Amino acid sequence: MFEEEIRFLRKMSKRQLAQQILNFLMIVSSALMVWKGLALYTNSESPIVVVLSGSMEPAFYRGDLLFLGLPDEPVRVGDICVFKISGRDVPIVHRVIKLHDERKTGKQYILTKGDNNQVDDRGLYNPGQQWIHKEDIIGKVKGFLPYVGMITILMNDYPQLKYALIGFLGLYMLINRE
Amino acid sequence: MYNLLQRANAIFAFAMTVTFGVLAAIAIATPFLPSSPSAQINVKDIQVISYDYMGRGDSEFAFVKLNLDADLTSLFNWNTKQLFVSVVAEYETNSHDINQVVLWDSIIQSKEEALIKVSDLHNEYNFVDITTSFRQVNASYSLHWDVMPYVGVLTSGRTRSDQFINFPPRSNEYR
Repeated sequence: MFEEEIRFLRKMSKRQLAQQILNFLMIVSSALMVWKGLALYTNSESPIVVVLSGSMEPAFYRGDLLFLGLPDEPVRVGDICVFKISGRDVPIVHRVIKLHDERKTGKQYILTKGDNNQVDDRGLYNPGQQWIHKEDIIGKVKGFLPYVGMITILMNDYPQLKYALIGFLGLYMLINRE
Repeated sequence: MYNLLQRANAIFAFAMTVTFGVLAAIAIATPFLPSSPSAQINVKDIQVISYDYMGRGDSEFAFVKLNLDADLTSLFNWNTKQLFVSVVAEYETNSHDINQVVLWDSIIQSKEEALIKVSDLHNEYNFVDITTSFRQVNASYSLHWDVMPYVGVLTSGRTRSDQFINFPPRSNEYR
């Protein structure tokens, strides 16, 4: 089935191989540029996130894609925010239900809760922590695309799929004659 | 020249392009659909009781009872998945200039449910200030709604809060 391609691979000179690798790197780096450009435009370090849990059902299900932005305006109650609890990597997408802005410092004291949870997020915060602040928030949810993020979840749950996909793509790049 | 793999690839790429084109068109068209939501909140009763909160001593808790009348059916178009409505109390204190607390929220998943009439709404979440006392502030109550589309941009709206109601002084028991 692949005899033609394997013959072609053997006949390829070092220069052609280098050319193919360079093409591959070009594609990867332009994808990276688009991603970073988007992060700059939305002012968020991670402008597109995948919903990982069901705590915001029925609005967001696991595998939905969210578009974030972080405008300069302060957080207001009802905003759906993506935030990280300090010391932890996992971003959480929940809604702001309480807000107290300190008059003198302008510091915001924010309490969040997932729509599908019975209690607010104090159980999730660090021990002794009762509020989160603007610095913990990496973006507000602006837009939404269902189901598309399922690929990311599948790749996280089955890492072999990730390696298989990268291996397949790499092979395809090398044997592609264009 | 055109084997099965190439044809499948071409079909798949075209299908993806068309799908994303349609989704983008839906997302862009949705904000132009007209809507005219309306809501009315009438506060019937407020009581303030003080008791121990999270082990840091006595704090004042407010118990609010109100009437809610809202017609949000015009927000439901073919791209609306659900509405998230919440009753929000807003007030100002000496130490904190903006305080917003959600008292009650509800998820509305169909146009029929969007005609809301609750006559004895009690606050679902505890209404407690970040300081220990409300000091009889006056607070305004408004309805906020978030429209969640099937695909596209999330929009929201709210009623104006022009009616300010004073808190009563702390009472010793819940009447």
